[in-house]
Amino acid sequence: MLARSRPRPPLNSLSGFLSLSTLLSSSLPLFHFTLRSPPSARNTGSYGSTKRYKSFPRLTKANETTLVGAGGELSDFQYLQDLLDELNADDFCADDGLRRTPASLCSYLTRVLYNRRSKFDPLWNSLVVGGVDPADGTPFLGAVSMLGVKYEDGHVATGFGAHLARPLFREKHSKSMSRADAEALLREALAVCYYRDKQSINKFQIAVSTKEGGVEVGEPFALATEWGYGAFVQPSAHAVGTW
Amino acid sequence: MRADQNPTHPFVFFDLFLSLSLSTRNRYPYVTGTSVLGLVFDGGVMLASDTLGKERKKKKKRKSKT
Repeated sequence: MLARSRPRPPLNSLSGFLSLSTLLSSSLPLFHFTLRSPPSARNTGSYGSTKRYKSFPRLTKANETTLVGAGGELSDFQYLQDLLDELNADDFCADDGLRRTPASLCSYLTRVLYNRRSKFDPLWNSLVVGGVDPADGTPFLGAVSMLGVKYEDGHVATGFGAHLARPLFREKHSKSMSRADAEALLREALAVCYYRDKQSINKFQIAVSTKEGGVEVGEPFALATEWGYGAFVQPSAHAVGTW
Repeated sequence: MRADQNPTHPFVFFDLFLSLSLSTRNRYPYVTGTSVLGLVFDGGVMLASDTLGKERKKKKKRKSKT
């Protein structure tokens, strides 16, 4: 535990002073920090929640029929991609024509995340694993939490999407819907997530896995947005008690 | 044989020194992505997400006023 704790900068140190002037979030009053440097002084400077990497593909092809999408810590996701690459290499070297199914990759990732959680060193990811069975084309869709808990359903969402998108899915989704309908529904849900989730940008990717077409990860695209709605212009107009 | 497998290798002490003094780990995620959505349709599966890697929102530790 010793190695894990960062040294606290001395009071009135330069780093504390810099963070005072440049890193302060506006909601905190200044006098909190004149006596004691804020915890943020221990980090290198970043301006709050910076939208730093705007072209990071968070949906990847895990094997010929499986897609993995990740939220949470993206370097941990890159580590998981390395693990999946190793599995693919094993599959290739066995040369028996068998490939891991989406369900087995989902179970594998669940075990990895649970194992790391049990070491008190979790991989900070929420994953969505989807794909079709290479043998019979049965679709599989599952979500894995960072604590190694998974569920399967006809529609899944991680993070804020679980609150914003899944209500839409419950209303409009059916497993027998066409590909075009599914894409339209996803775009609608993405728009809602973009309007309501501060931590997102208007640059999206859609990836599809089918038995015939294999895995296709689409090019990034932007959605048409409309910010002129009354509720966006005057958020507090009909909300009594807010400001 | 790697240095960390050989207890008599001089780098072992250097590693120990590093791990005790210079090396720090992030205990919280630093670059993060937000939601991923997924749907099953007739004949396949579709996933969607945005492409943002967002830097960490710093934890605010406020002193309680009580």
